[in-house]
Amino acid sequence: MLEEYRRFAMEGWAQGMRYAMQTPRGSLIGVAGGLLGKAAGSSIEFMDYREYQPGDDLRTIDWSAFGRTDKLMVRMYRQEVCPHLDLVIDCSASMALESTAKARATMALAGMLASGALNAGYTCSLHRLAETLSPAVGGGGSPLQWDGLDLDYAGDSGESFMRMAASFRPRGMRILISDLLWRTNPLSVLGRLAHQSLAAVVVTVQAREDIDGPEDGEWQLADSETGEIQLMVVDSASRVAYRQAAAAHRQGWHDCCRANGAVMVEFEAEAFCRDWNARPLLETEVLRFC
Amino acid sequence: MPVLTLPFALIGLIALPAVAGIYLFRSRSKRRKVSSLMLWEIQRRSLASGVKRQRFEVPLLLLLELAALALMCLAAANPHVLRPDAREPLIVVLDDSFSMLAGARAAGMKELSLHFTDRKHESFQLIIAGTSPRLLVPGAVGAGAARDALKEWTCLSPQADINKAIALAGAIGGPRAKILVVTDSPPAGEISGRIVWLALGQNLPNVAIVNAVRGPGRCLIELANFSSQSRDVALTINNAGATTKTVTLEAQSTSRLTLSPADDNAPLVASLADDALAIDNSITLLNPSQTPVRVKLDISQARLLEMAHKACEASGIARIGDLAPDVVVTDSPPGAGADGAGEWIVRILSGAGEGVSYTGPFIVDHRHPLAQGLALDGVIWGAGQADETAGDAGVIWAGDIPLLTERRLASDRREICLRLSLELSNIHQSPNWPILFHNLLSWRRQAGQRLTGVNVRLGQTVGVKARPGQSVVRVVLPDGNAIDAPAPAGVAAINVSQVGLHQVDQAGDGCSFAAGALCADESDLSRLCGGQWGQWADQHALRMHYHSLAALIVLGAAGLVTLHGFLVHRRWGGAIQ
Repeated sequence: MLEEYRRFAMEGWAQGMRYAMQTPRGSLIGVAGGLLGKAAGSSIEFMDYREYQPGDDLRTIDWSAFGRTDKLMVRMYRQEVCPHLDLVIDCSASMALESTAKARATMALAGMLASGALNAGYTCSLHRLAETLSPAVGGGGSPLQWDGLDLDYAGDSGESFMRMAASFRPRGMRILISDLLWRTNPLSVLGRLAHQSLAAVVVTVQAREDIDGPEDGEWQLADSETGEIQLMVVDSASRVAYRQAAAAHRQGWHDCCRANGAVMVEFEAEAFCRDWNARPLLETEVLRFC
Repeated sequence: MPVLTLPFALIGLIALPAVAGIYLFRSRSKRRKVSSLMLWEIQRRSLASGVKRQRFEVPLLLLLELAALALMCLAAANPHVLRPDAREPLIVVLDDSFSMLAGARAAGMKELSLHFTDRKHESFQLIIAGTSPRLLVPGAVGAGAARDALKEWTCLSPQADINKAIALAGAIGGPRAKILVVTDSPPAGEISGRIVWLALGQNLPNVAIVNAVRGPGRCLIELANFSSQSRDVALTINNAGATTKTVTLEAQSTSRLTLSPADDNAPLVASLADDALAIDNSITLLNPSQTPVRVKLDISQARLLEMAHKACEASGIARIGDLAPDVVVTDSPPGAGADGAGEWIVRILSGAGEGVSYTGPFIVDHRHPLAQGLALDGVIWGAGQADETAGDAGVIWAGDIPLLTERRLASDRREICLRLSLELSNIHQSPNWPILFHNLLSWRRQAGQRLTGVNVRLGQTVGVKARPGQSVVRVVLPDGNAIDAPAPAGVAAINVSQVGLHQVDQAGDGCSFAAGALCADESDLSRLCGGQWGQWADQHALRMHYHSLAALIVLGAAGLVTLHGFLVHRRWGGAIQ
């Protein structure tokens, strides 16, 4: 692993010391663990009452309260979690696009999320998504211990993700850091990511150029992963078309995330590296201040 | 026709390939890595259908840039065009000497056809530069008439006085006129101002007959070789049969041949083989009829009779006798003597009263036919003081005393009075005495002939006496055309402008004369050359008569640049790179 990447990760690790990870609302499945979650759960610590709704477990109905109020009320207990984070880093070459801050932002976000997870008492596993999905060395510790996270895979990471052998821990939280410039169907990817997970979060890291396209000119555009070359005359019209295509692509992922109960958080690499603003993660309650 | 005043500015055009190179170099696509090409796929499909439009824009911009650059280079060259209202009259001086027939005339006709356009000149005047200049057409004419008038440019003069012709052109053309001289030789000095000297001659070898005379019983012909190599030339002589003589002529040399015509009364035609100049290769010589002058000596003084007799015989053209004399020499006093038709009377007054010897200085009218060749220095002229001379015109005077006078009488008769006392004179012992008689007899013989010459040179004037009672003389030229020459005072002056036999009054007592192109200077083609001297389009003329197109061209270039900027703006969305 490049020392440069380690340094980027350490920058994010340091920034992430202010945050702690939390389980997003609307967890995909029930949880059970040693920590109390923010949501209602199945622990023995009473949290609140609420009116009965069809489908609620009849065992949670407080019959005493029914006697007093003549209303069916159910008891709510604080969620009991045993959190684990599976952090997947897309190691394709496009994540280290030259003359952009994608590599720095990717590694910094990984460091920030790992730091937040540790702050929240999560256990953490780091996965390298390249030709296969494989555990990275030292993923449970600080970035100083990480290894094998070189952003150099020349292939479609989406297809690799689909070929993976499932190694995520059940009922854990799963976060995928990628630019999502894959040809793979997002529904398939997200279905596999969210399967038996507590929560699935997709963090997209894209450079400004990925969002807007290159500046005007006649270019031989070279795919950083496949090496394919395409002659393009980029002008205002083609840039508009590109932006529309990129926005549609992202929107497709958003829709698929919603459909799979996952959360999608977008970062522009250059902006993130400028002020380390983790607001999108805070807004989606993936992180919280300690 | 546009004029470029700074043609070196066009060197800037070499920037065109440089710009094209830079453009092509810059427009070469550069490689750029992107995260993925998947988002460009839709545009790749669009490009496949719109590739022609995309490719078209690139050369259009390049063409605009190249066109703007070319226009700016052209503007830097400061092109001028003739103002529509600035046309000037053109006066063409045409060398009419016969050396122009060696190709220069034909080249001149071709060259002039380029100048004769109404668009370039206001009007045209043509001056023939011959022995003396003359207008080919009266007044200024248009291009078409000028072209037509060129047919009369015959080049049959023995010489061309171009300086006089230029002076005439300057006088009739005014300060605005341009002068074009078309000749075959270079100018003698500097050419300046509004004159362009166009020489179209070529240095060619030529063999010519440069001199020819014919007398009784023999001819003299002079041949010249105007080339740098010796030649054997064949001279063909036609006179009662054709004979050929071969003459070896060294380079740049002449050779004289003396011929004896087989038939002294028939014309003699001598000719050379064709060469660069044909007109001087042939000559026709007629026999000049040397009719003797019949002289009657009616002199009582023995001494004077003897001296007169000797002088007449020495002249070689006198036949002394009493029958139908042409000249009567007498010492009888005025009022007596012959009165025959055509008789001339020479009256020698030999000293009435006391004689006086005059030692000079004598006043002599050397223009008079009687005085040609006289030299009276050292001569003692004795004459009687009381002698009365009846002459109207004095020829020789001693102070206010007329010694020799003449006057015209009726019917072309003349009376010549000579005051002379042999006892007091020595003129009869000097050469002036036979000269005086020779002049007298020659004058008389010439007065009795219709023609002043039978073998003449091109450009000479031949005097032809008209028949009694007629005021014109009809002459049939060698080309078959006939002219009626006016004969004021009974004599017509025929300017010889063609080579060959001229017939005068074919009917009745007709006569003829022959003309030849005998002029060594014109036959010498080695002095000829081609080239142009002088220039009309000087800076002053440019300012006065030409519009500069520079501003217009710069405006056009600015328009192209504006269009270029518009296209770039449209293409690059305002971000000009």
